[in-house]
Amino acid sequence: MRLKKLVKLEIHKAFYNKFFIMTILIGCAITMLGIFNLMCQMKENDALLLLLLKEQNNGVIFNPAAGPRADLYHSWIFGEPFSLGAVLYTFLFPVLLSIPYGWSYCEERSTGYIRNMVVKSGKREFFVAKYIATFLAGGVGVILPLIVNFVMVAMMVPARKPMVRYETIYGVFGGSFLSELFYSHPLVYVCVYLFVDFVFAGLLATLSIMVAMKIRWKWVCVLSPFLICMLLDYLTRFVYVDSNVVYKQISLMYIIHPIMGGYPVSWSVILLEISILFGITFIMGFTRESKHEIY
Amino acid sequence: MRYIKLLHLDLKRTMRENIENLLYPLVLGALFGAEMWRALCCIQESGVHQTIALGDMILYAYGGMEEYLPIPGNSFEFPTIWFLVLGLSAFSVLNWPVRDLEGTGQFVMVQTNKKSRWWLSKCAWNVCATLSFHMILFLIFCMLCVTRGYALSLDFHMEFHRFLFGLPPEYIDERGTELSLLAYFVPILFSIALNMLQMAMSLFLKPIYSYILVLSILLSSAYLLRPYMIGNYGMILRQDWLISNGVSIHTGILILLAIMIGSTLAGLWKIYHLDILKKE
Repeated sequence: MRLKKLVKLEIHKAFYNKFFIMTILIGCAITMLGIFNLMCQMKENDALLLLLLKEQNNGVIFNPAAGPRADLYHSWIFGEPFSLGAVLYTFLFPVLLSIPYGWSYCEERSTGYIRNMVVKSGKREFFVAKYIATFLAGGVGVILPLIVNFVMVAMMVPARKPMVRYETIYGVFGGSFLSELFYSHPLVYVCVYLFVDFVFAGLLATLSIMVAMKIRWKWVCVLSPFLICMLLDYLTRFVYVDSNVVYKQISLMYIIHPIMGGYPVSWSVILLEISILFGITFIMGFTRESKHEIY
Repeated sequence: MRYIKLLHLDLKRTMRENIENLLYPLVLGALFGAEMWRALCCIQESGVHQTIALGDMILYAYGGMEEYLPIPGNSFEFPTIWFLVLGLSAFSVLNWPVRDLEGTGQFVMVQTNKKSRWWLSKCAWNVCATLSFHMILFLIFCMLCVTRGYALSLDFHMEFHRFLFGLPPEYIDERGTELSLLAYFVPILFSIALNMLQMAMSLFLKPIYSYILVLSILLSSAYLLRPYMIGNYGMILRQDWLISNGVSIHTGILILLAIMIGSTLAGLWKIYHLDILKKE
């Protein structure tokens, strides 16, 4: 079987399964909490604004939409770090990303399906196809609810261009990652960040393939990216030792959210972590799989 | 087959097949010890004489986080240490019951003629496994105290925790410097109740979804300090003996016991109605 055909087959399997749909549903349900929070906030703000306008204009109410209100870039779920939805989605991100297809390699190994496929296509081709499908399913599975949230929030509040003087509200400061882009082209900033998250989600999802090479239990494999992220987050406590130094954010738990976490994110750390993850998951996995006897 | 024999079989098999679960508390204990030692060195380098005791280690692992206030400039910080302890404890008991149900458990049910015995032995196994997780962690803390010369008492030093967690000075009421045994017992009871709930939910949903539910409970509780968010009972820093607006320990014990009983009954009901031969 040719590689292209195999990739197509694996991608079809990855996107047309109940776990992928469940991930999207869980993700959307969590991001809805952010929208619920926004609606409550808007209701409160409207009441306050009406009160203010009444006082200012001797009881005559002007257009309430004219005052300072919520805007898209600090109201969508990855634009604010305060709502329960944002908190839940950020920290469940490493769990959700491997549910769509992170289990497949482990299951196909235990059922013996992998042997049939390797006979027909070859070990390397099978691994590459599985890697691509897991990467894409992981990335799309967690990015899609974010895009849905962004679009839904865009339908509710205007996409005003962020102003630098309100940087404390936006949480994107002078030294923050891509801050210039955020204040000049906010939509491009959101797209770039979603792409970074997509790459991280895809690479973390492929970690489950690496774990499946050693462990037979599929739910353990699926949860392995989360446990690894959590452990790495704990180990940052050994790196951030001086409270007077502004370190770069290295914890994957915080890098994925544009404004959550104490330290700023940088391109160098992002590229380094992507390279390490790619090296571990693809190069090591590919080498091992090529030499590994499946029978 | 007698119930106690079933429990014995479960314990023996998990010891043999899931021995790596014992590694989690060992690794955690070693990491926690290393971080506390580093923090202590940092404090002592600045010229402050600081000692720690067993109570500090328990507070470090089961403390959780202070109340989170969602205001600008205060983004949510993940309580990693508390999460690692409770999340890994739940993870260590996640797989076994479902795995057994798909394999040997079916033969056990046929031989005992009663599904309830199998389920009740799993409940008892769950309690034993969770307790052993926390027991190992406790023993490692004791060993660290003995080897590093820290006091083997339940005393805690709030200055040390302010340094570690960045707690505001006005946050903690002065309620003595000794950890009460009950305060230590409630997080462990919470861990048992959570693992029982997870195991019962695994019968209704897939294990991964029940684990997501557990993680959501832990995260929501860290986010909101409310009596109905049961995770707050698992955080010593949020108990009423330590802070004025904390959650009541006694109410917590009642709620957690109710969850344990409820989970057992729900699982019992489900296992009676479950066609085990069709189970994936």
